[in-house]
Amino acid sequence: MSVEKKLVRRGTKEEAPVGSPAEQAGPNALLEQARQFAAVAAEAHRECEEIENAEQELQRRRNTSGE
Amino acid sequence: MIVPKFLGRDCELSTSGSDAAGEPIKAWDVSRAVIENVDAAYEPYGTKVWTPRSDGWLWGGKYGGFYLGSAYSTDCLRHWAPDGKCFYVDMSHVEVCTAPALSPRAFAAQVIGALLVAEAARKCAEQRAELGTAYRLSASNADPVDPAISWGSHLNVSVSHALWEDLCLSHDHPAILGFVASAIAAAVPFFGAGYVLLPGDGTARYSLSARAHHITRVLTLATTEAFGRGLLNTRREPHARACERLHLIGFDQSLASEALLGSFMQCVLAAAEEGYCGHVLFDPVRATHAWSWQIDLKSGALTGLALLADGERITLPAYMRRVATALIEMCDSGFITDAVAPEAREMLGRIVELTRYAEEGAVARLGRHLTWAAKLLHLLDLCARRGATFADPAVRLADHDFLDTGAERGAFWRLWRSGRIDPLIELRHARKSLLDGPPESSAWGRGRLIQRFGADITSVEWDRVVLRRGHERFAPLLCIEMPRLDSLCRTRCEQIIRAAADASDLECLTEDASAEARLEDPVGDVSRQLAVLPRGEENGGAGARP
Repeated sequence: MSVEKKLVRRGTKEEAPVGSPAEQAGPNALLEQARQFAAVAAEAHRECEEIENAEQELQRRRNTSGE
Repeated sequence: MIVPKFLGRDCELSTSGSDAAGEPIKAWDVSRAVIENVDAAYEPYGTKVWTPRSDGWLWGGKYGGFYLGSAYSTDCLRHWAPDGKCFYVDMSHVEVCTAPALSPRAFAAQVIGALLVAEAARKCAEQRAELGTAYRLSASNADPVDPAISWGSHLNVSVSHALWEDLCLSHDHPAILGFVASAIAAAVPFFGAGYVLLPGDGTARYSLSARAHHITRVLTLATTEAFGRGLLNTRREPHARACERLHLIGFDQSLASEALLGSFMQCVLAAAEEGYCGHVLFDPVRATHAWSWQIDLKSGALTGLALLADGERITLPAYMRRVATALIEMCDSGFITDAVAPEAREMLGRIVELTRYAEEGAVARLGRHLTWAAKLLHLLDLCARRGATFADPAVRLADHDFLDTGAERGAFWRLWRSGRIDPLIELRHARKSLLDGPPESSAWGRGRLIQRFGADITSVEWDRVVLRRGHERFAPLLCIEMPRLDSLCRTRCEQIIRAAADASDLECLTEDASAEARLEDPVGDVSRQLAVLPRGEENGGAGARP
């Protein structure tokens, strides 16, 4: 295939972004990996009050631009 | 000419806080409080940092001293650490510049060690603040709410003057620029830290790189323009006269893969200095986006395709494997040596192995060494537990806090402890790196001078330390210059510094043994010689310019 034809194909459905997990319900091999990887989850996840006020906490994490 | 590829990181940290009432504290105030406690953070190691007076003036006051910058400027409050690091505030963020290191593992230890000090300083600051005050630091480099806000955690690599000028100014060899830009375009997502991207249409997308959406140019001078940063940056801030320091602003602080990323870039730039220019992408910026944003969240496959200059479409793992394999061949053939890029064969071999895992969709295996993969699994599990999506505030918070400097908050540290993540060093190596700078680097000697003669030092810079020869206020000064990144390496200066009774005994360190050899180019040098030496000037100035 010529470079021109390949260029035309850029940006088509083939390159469409993949959605979030909720948009991809169904059997999920990656989710199974996630469960196993986070087997330490009881320790790794902060099931604490802070996460219940996540929106508020997000605002407290706001930053300015930098470099 | 290939120069040793010293690695450094400007670790600019997410800096935030809240007061006892839960109201946000200005980042500048948090940064000031944290930086003020860097000295206390080094106390357990029995060492002290060196810093100029906080009013910006050194000894002697406004009418007899040296002005070192306002405490209110965007880059100030510099603290030079005994292990070669430098702590300061940059645009209201806490920032740490690591000591240059040649070994990728030493580089990883420097980066993680920098976070250990920052966290210790944060804790000290919080304990000294009003009850209920909370300070937060994170190695995340993107705002959790507004994707337009980002800050750097730049990777710096030493390169020859010739390569720097070729890439950033003259573009004499565009194919080499193409190769370097292409390799960076791949490394940015491959070694990314992961980021939940909110495009504004209500959806959420997982990006391998937290900076990809800001990279829209191949080459820029600006570093702070939202959505306008380059794969390559032309900021010229060498830390030694003998070489340039290529400033790569597109990378995340990817703690799990610092050693792999560092080694990969050492080899890419060493190959470029040898004139290598293969595997050029047709559109490196677009490739960064396609590779960052296209992951199948069911299978874990990296589905994004980019176009090579010859028309072939290629995935990120396939591209990384091709480049890494070519670099291994250069190591085997002796083009890239251990003196330039130590441990390269091992690191490149590991990268090739990771590309196989990526093609198999074995994300958990990737997660051992790639931060984006570990974070993705962490967030997916959180989504499943909470019935949430990536757009859920709790998930975005977990995204931002994944690299929190606090071991009790940052999931990175817990996953490391549990063996799920392996940054190719152990925590004890990072702690040990806080005692001294890397022995192969001038940072070792600078750190030792700070430890032994801190009271006599009047100024410190990346390429020099100035000391008083006596304790009197107007004692003569001794300037120890470091023209190369290894001028004060351990083997050259340990005995001298150890044996010195006072600063006067350091005189021999001022001898500049850094004569540079330069190859003559009978074609390329002609224009330069004509410009530098007008007719007659070489004969005593008969025809010299006025």
